[in-house]
Amino acid sequence: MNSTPDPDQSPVPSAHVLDATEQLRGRSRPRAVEIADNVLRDALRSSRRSLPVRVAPPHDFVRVSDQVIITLLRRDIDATLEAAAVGRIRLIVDRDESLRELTIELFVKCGQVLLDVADQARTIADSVLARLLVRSAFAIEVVTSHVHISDITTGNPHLVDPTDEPNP
Amino acid sequence: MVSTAVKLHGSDAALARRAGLGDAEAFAELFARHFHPTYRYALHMLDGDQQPAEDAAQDAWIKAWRNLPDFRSESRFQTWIFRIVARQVSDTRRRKRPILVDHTRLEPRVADSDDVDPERRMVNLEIWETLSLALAELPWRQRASWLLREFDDMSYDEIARVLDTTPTVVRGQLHRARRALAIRMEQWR
Repeated sequence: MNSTPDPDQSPVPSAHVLDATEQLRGRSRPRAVEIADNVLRDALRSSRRSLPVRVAPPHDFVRVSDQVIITLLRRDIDATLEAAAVGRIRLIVDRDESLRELTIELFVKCGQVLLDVADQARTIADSVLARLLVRSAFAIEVVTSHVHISDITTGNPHLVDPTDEPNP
Repeated sequence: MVSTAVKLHGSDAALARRAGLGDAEAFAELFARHFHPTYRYALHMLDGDQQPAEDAAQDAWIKAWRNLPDFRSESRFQTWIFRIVARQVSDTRRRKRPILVDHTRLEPRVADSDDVDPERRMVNLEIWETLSLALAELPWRQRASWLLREFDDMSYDEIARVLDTTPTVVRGQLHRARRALAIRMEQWR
């Protein structure tokens, strides 16, 4: 029966091959910088799949993309909360395109009072929705307040992800 | 633009999370960190042809931007983006090269009296050029495994994820690639 060869048991590459590998790895590619700018521009111009969300009456002929709502919620919450960062945002939009439910998942640094952080996030979300959907007259009604601790982040949640840190 | 992007701190996973939530600056930072290795991979896998490599890299990064909201850090961002690039490159190769493969190109060539003396043929080439040519003669899965291991420091498991195969297959491919390259480089030395 043949066993799979272990590449690490292969003959040690000669200095010649190692030198060539090093040179090839470090070599700049023709036009790479020029191409990079074009590729990044085109990627950011491409649109993501999105749902329209209806603005409150009397402007309910206007629709706002859920991607715009998500982007602004993330931006404002991350800019305000120092010890918490947005993990995920989920919107549930009804058939008539009105926003029914909003869930914001936060990564909170260990040692914070979770309910206070959640309240701050809710206030910011209210303000963003009021701005975008003209919902100030319909301040967010808290139907459920659910706090679930799924992981602990000891570092700054704006800079690390729970998956970056070893399990305690 | 890459050249003028604000340098952001943070791990790839944290940046990917932000980019998934619409943060263009976080995406630009991820792009600055990973575009060149992905373009280099595309270029080597497409035999140095710039235009198809550029198109493959571009399509892959557009898909990355669109699909980042679904990225869940179940693998490293590097593995995730390379998987997209590898699929794009594979599609490009299928479209580009509907030709029969000459089996003699798949193994290191022994000296052939009818050939031009390889030493003379290679004498004017830099050492990295000879390696580049040797790489281009490898079958694509060997070449891909070697590039991801030697240039991008991926583990066997990560390479297997990128190439949709198993770590055991990767080990075999890598072994054969290293042996073939060593023989080829020795012949041209």
